[in-house]
Amino acid sequence: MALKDLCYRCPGCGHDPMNGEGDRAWCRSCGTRIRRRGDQLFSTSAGGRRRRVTASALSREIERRGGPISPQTFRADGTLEYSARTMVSWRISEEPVWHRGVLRGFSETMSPEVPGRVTANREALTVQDGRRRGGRWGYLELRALQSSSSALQISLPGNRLVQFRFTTDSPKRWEDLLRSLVRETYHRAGRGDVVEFQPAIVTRSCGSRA
Amino acid sequence: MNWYSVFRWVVRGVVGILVRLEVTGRENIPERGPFLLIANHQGTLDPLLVQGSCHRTVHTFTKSTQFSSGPVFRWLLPRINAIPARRYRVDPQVVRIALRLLKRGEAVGIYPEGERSWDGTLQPFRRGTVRLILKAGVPVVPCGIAGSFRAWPRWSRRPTRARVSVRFGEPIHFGVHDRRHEREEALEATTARIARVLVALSQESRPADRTGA
Repeated sequence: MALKDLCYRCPGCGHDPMNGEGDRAWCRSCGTRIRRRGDQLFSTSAGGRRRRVTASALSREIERRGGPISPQTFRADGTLEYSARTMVSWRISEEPVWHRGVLRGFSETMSPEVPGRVTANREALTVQDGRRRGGRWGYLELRALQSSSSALQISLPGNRLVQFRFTTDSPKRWEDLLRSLVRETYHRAGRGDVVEFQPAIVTRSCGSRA
Repeated sequence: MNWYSVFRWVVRGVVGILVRLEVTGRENIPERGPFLLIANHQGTLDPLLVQGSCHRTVHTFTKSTQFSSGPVFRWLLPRINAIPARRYRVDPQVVRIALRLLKRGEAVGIYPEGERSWDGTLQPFRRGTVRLILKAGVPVVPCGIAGSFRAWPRWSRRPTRARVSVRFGEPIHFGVHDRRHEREEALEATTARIARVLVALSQESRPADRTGA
């Protein structure tokens, strides 16, 4: 992962996306540059003014500018649709973990990754991969979602788990985007406010698993 | 000498190279008997920092996919007392295992946020973790980590040498909540109390205004 996974759009002007590599990120629109140097983060404006910043302040600024919802997430006709290339894998098995004759729990094994594409619009999440194991799910059908290391994992109906490892996009952006769309869908359906996304999507109104 | 002890010595060496570590409050860790060690999760080094700093053996919840991420992890994780937790379903098995270990007088470590923070701030807790705390009724030892986000944030590929503090707080006793409705009633207050303590512990001795929150 890289700093641009945290700063997926510019905290200075809101431009989407940020460019970057490793511990550096920069905005092609306003010229803001952000860099991790030692144990500190610095933001340098186009005019050359450098100041120390915190990661949480950058996150707040991105959120204030719309978070994952930006002009990039809309098609020309004004409907929300966002898509990214990704490496897709699916949970294929669960194995018991034994140690000294005692069951420690169950490990989950993911399938080898294949290139694919994930698309989100206001209605549903669509997953396409080379093995044709993908599908389309409305947000009320998703059971749980959470970023894990550099990937995003989504629990689907039928005890299925899919994992996306983004090769060109930020897992945080996708986590923020899907959480926002799930919240919006639950709210629209009168199902209450989502208070938890893992291990299951839980809403406040009923206090039970959604 | 068991694998856990070997692991702890190796970890202490590695941590000593990677960060300038300050550990306080070790006297708050019970010398014997069960307890739950609850820590905030700021950065990549946290499991090493916590297990390397705690003189008691701790069984730690670990994401279940980690166990199948290669032969090294498959061999190592059970030997250092990792408990595989399936994070995308309600996993009663992992609760049973944790309660069984606590009943045997052992220590169990959990990161109630469930995942490393993106920006160093404390994330919402998993409600299942808080329910486990209330059901177990054992002392809860809060552990506040400060500086590990600066040392190695989630989004960076490399660590940098930073000052990190691990602070163990006084054990908190929430009592046993056997009935489900008792746990549900106490859920919000317990969550808020643990969050307050972790924030306080992880803010003490934190160098201000840096990469972290």
